[in-house]
Amino acid sequence: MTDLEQQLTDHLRRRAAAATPRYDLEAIQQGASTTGLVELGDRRGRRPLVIAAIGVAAAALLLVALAGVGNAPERDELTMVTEPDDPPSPQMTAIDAMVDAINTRDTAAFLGAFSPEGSFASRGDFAESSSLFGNDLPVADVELVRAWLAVMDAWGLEAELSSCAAQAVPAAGTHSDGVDAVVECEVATRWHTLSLEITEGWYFELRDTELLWWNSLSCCRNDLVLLDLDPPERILPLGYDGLEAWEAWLQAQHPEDAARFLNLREGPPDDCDGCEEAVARLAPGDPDRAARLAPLIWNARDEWVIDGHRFSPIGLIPYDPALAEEIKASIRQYLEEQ
Amino acid sequence: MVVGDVNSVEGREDRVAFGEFYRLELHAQVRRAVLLLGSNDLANDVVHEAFVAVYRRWDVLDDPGPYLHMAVLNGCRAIHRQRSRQRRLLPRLIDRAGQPSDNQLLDDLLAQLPFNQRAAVVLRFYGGLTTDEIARELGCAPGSVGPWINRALAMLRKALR
Repeated sequence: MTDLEQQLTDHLRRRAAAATPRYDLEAIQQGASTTGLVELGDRRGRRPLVIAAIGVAAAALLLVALAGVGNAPERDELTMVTEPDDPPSPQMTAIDAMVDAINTRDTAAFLGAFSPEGSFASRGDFAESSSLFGNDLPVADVELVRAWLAVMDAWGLEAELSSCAAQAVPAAGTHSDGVDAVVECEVATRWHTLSLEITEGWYFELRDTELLWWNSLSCCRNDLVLLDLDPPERILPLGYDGLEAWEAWLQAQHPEDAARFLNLREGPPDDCDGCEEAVARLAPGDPDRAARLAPLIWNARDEWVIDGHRFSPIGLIPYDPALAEEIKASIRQYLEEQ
Repeated sequence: MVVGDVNSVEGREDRVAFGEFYRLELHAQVRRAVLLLGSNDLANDVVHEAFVAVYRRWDVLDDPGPYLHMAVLNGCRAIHRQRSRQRRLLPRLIDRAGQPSDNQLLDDLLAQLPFNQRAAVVLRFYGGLTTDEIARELGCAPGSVGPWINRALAMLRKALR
């Protein structure tokens, strides 16, 4: 160690020894601390996001939306729905309630945030869904909503809103009828079972204080989807590249487990009308990246059954939740070996 | 289950377990945050906010230690970002009446380092972490750590000459 390094070490030790912690357990357990805390990750500003897509249904939605593109505001026109010190807007109250319901796996509260005719993107398709559209689950299908929350529970989903912005309601092209508010949010989604954290864009359509449509992964009506697969300031160890590295490790080191755990991510079928354009839109000007992203938002090869309901997942997290504990243990082992 | 629900057995047990975790981690986290921020008050704020975040997720975190660690680090990074901006906007206030002590000078120089360089220096020379461990803490490639520390040391060496 050089003189400077020794000087630095001694200095840091002296400064650390002089630190005086403020003991305030009670305030923490009441959910707040005593003095001017820094807002960590609460309604943060937007990070650079990567454009991705939600699938054929969303592509179709885009085509409709383009009809009203003249009415669509530029990104600069976005306004924060709720500044950090303001009381929440009625729209944010509904969105916060829905996010809380997801985090607590509270089916009744989740349903309560929606209008009875509301629906949401379910990250895959239930065979019994009453919706005609893929990746669209009406909240009226209560048993399927319950099963969907069980999937989220298996992967340990925790969602944290980072920032939300009100968007002007377009004259045409909304998913639902009677929309009077549109809100886009940047959301950190932490999948604790998988040690995975990504940033998603969530898109909401509301009437009064009720949600009519929630599209996860898809942020902005005309941008299709915004998604950061490897957020640099994440809390959990793996971004999406890390999850793929675990898959590669599993295939190399434990091929029998790989055969059981993994579910082939497939892109759009060759004969899909309009899919080529939809894929290109995932990463404009970057066909390689678009091709890489496409399998994340198309249905994976195998379907599985959750609470008695057949479900065909999209490729983002295609694994069977019945194997969640084994997958969790495998990822732990992978992380320890790295 | 809601953490802190004192009406349930699980809620009481969680509160006790969290209290134990808090007592074990508090001092070390504040010491590290002080070295990253140079301010006892700010360090306590950041650390306590991180504990609030851990407490809210107590029933879903299998291993709250790394989560707390990262939350403190991110909090310090956010503060550093704000202060960098303030430094650009406000003239530095320097007591020219007397020569600063070596300790004050080192504090001042550390405060001028970019966050990643400062964090790498603290984690290496206070925490005793290896390059790989520092890279994991900061969420960067191991190859970045050496250059950060070298650049920081070069700047300190030049300024102290």
